[in-house]
Amino acid sequence: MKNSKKDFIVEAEEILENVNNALLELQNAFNPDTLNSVFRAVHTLKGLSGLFGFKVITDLSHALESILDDLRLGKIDISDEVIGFIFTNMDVLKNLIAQVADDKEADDVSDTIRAIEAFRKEAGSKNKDISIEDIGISPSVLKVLSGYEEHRLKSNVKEGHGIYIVKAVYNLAEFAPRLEALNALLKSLGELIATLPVSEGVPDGSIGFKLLLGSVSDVDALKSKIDSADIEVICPPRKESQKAAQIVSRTQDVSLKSTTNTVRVDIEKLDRILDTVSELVLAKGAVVRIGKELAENVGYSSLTLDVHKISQTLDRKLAELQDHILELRMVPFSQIFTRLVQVVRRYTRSVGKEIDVELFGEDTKIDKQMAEEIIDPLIHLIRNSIDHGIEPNEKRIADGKKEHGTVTLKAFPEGNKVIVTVQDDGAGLDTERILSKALEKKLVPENQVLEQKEVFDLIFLPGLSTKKEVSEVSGRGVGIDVKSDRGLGTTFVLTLPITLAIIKALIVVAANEKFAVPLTSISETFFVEAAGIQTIEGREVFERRGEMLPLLRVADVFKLENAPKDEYFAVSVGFGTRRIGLLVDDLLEQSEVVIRPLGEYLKDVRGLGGAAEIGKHEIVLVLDIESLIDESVSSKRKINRAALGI
Amino acid sequence: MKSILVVDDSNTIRTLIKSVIEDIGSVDIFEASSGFEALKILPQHAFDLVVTDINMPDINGFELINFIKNHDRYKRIPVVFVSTERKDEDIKKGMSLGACAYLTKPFKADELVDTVRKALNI
Amino acid sequence: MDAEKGGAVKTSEEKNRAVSDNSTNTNKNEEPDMTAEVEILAFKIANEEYAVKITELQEIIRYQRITIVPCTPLYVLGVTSLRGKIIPVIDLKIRLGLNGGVEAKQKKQKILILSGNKEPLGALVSLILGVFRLPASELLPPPPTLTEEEKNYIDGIVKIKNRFISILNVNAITRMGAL
Repeated sequence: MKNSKKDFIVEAEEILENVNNALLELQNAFNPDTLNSVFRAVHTLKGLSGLFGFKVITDLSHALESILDDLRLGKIDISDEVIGFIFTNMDVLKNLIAQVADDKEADDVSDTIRAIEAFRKEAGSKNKDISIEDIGISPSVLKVLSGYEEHRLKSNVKEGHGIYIVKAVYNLAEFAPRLEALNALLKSLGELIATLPVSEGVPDGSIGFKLLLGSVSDVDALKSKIDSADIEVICPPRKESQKAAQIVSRTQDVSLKSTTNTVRVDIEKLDRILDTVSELVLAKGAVVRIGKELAENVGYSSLTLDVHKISQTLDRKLAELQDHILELRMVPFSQIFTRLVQVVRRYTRSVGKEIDVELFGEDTKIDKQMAEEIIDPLIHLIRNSIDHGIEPNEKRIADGKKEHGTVTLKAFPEGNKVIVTVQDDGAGLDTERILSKALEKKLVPENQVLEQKEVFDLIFLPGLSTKKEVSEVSGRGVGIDVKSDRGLGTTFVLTLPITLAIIKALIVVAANEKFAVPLTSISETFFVEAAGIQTIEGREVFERRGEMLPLLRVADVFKLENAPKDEYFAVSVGFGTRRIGLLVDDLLEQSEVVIRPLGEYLKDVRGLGGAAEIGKHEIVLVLDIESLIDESVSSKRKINRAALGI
Repeated sequence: MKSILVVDDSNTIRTLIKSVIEDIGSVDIFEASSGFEALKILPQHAFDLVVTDINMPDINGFELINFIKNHDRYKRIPVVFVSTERKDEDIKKGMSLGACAYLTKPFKADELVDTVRKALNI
Repeated sequence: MDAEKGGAVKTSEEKNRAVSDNSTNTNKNEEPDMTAEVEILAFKIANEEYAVKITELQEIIRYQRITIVPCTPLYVLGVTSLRGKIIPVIDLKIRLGLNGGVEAKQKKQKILILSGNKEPLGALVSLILGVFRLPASELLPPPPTLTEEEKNYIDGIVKIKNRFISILNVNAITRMGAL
């Protein structure tokens, strides 16, 4: 059964991808076929998961299928809101499938399902209907139509389209290509509602078809385009719909021309190009090396100079190429904001708070993949603000604040980083509450005196809420910090690398092993004499510009044997007050690297965010800075790790 | 040896149905990924049973059974629906068009085996 | 829907295969069928001979640089790169608890890329002996004299040129819990 589970996952993922693409198409333009394909895909997923006994997926896809059914049957009108709603729920579905793949227990989605049901009831309260029997189609045709086909038939009638039955008889041996050709022709003339194969009254060795067509054209116009087919008129088109159709078809001609200079590309294809480019970069390295060897062996002959010149050109052009591709992966923040606003709206409605959302920096560009990965942490932070930050309206009025709370989202570029802030004008972090929660979970020892800022940092610890979501992206050079003023509000600051595809990293050496540190996490590097390292409460610290910077020996983190030395290098990483110095033996070079995941087997090794190839088959491990900072912070507070179960 | 045509647009569901029916033994299974495919395959072999989904692109399961049941050469072939549609009107529609059984997904393997055995008279 | 996706009629040859599949169930349960054949790749680790089924092998690569990954079990040698993908490599000798034997020169060693139970995984071996094709009926169950641990890793035994070769259970060797 293991193989079949793999089959399930492959097919389920394919279905989800198709659905997402189709939904995107629907956002641009409504097309009943596209909507129906979404419905059928979810329907298949429901059947599929049922067969495999993944009940949670079945239940959720069933709920989604019902709402899609209402949509395609016209019981609910299609709108951006509905599509956005389905999008979010597809994400939940995607999660569930990922859980199957990881052999994890499925999340409880009963709340989601209830929300879908509620949404469906609210949206579908209106009803409009035509009796299908009144259209005048023979019962022999009606009896085989599916519910969806009946609905399409009614919509066509409602819109005043003519309804026709086109009959065709083909030789059995060659019906397939001819029917396909006829289908294509009919689809260009209107909507092909149903295809009925018929056997009565058809000569032996032949097969007949009745094709139910809805079209704005009249029967003469159709006859002029479809030869050799018999057309039965069920009802003629209404006059005004014909006029509308002419306008539509004219604008279609225009739009056909104007849209052709844009293409939509799968991001995986871009990744493949990037992979090729990084292989070329390695090859270029070889050319540079050959140039150097030539210079050493034969001196600066004209051949050597040629090689040198060509390697420089290669270098420049490859850098340009990389930039162009990276630019293709960039999306404006407005894409993220739109999705966040939907979530906020729905969430505030469900918790009964009214909240204003202000957005700044919608044009700031960010890598598409980064955008996808950052959305969940952002949702989490915003919910946090709504739940814990912003006070109830009565309290706000009593405190002399504006009645509605405000959540402000800002995104702005800073060098090769993007800074995103989530700010609320609520009550600020409640230090007592955080501290008592941390004590309750034994995250800090009792009667330890902590400064306010140190208490704030506690919220990033595993075991207290905020961390889980954020830690998933922290391996990629994402930093987080918090500022808060009692009574005035809280601001979370996320520092994101502009792209995940290729990042600049510093290659360092500890215990003879190379490691890569993403440059976005580094604030400075400096020289440390062993004699200058002090120990405070069992922790090594170094005084840097009047502040005590906690140190972490990279060799110790990974339990690598390293003889004591007189001098080290420190790499200062982290943001705000969550800053530590990584102690290493040497700094090698800056390098552009493509970070790859360590894979299923090794993903749980702590402190590592991935691996990168820096030469032919030479791999360096990439440090996960946020988790190293956590490690440092937790040992600094002598946190009871056993209590956390880690 | 009995010949069975399995029609479903999901590759995985076809494979599953196939693997369940195969356990009966002495069956030869053909697959079609749509009603249209089924029409192409039907004349090429003498089938003893058709197992089909309902919601499929182009030609749906109702349209397929209607064709089979009105065709002199095929009308004796029993048809079993296996569909996620569990509304009464769909089941009624399916049976009134001449299906010998209507299973809803998720089906139990035993249930499908019993139904197929009954339909094949084995 | 395109015909390739599974619609087309089987050729008569395929049909025959389907018939024999039905009567013996080879494809599902891996029960030996008198007519079926298995292909195995035999290799040497330390002084012992082992094999994996070809179906569980993706490719064989020459020894290449392996980067140590700290804080992993002893038998995890580290990671290497295969066309841009990061692949962990294990030392089968340590994994199987073998000791002794003269290690082949590093350059002679090979890395087998196995399908693994989650993702591809490399296994370092000393020497490749070759590919053998034999009737499934010659696949013998593991001898009862094996220790419990060995039984976990060994799927069966074959006799080639009067030597016994153990066939490894790749799934067990690459199981996540152990790695």
